[in-house]
Amino acid sequence: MKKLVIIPAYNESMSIKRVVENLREKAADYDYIIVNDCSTDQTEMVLKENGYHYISFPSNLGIGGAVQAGYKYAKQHSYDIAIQMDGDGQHDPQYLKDIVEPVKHGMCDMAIGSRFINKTGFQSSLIRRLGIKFISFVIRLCCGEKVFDTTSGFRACNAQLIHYFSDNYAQDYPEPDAIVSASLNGWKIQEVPIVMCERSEGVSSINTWKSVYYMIKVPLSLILHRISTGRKKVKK
Amino acid sequence: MNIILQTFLLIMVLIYLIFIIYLLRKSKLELKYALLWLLSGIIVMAVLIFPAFFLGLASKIGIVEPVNMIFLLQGGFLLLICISLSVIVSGLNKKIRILVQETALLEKRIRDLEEKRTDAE
Repeated sequence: MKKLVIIPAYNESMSIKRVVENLREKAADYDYIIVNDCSTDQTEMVLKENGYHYISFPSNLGIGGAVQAGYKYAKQHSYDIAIQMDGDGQHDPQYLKDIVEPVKHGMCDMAIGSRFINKTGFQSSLIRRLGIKFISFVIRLCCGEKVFDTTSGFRACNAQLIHYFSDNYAQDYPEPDAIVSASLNGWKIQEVPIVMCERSEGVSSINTWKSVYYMIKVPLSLILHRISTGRKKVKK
Repeated sequence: MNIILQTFLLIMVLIYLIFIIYLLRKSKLELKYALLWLLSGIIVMAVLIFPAFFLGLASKIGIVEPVNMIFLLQGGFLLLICISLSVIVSGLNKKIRILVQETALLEKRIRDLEEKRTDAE
């Protein structure tokens, strides 16, 4: 079973080395590809110096574009399972098997690592948690999926979804949107409890004002997506 | 406002909104760019449903005919959308320029590698 970990990275020069070393140590049987989204700091240099596997964008596309490129890479190299993992160290490779197992055994097509099922580990700020709860509600409205951790970038997909996401991946709010997309196209989604760490270095790409903007635009976008897509038959 | 005109314009706006949603379904329009178009349709619809309220506001700036209020709104939205399109095009232009340059540089690298390989043979 060929497994690929997709690590989108934008200005993560401080944490990317630790992330990769951690991954190599705890999950040596996983391939990985770092997608450098035209970082303006020393990220590319760190990647080159350490001989890490990476692709580098000549121009910034955002998290959606970076992750989609990862899926394209997975499709090109015929991977069976692709896992998204953040480049800032919030996701612990020891939980990789928790999200890969359900997908590997066909229990679901996409498994999302969720902080909020067991409520352990880093729980994020109150504002973000309220926002995430709201998005959960909107997702349930749009496609019926009960997902607690909607913005979790720690998720595993099978080959079918790899193919789908390489051609159809939301550019603006990919994490919740991908859930709705996958669900409306008939794929099965499951949530798995995991523990996440707090971001130690660098700055999150979502600050307070951006959070507010995000919380208005995302539900709107999801609802529009639902209206403009409708529910399709199971594409198996 | 004339009820016939109100109804006619309302139907037009509904057709317009349905058309935008159709374009979204066919993936001919990206959601991000559709938002402004949809917003303009919704606001014009709100003005058509409650003309008295909006005319009250509009008369403060000197508008007499209700229809002119609709025209002003539509004109304003078109201007806004055109400006945002220009901004988007500028961004795209920049990205294309970067792609052209990077592709050319990559081509040189590949050519050099091929030459090195034929030299070695």
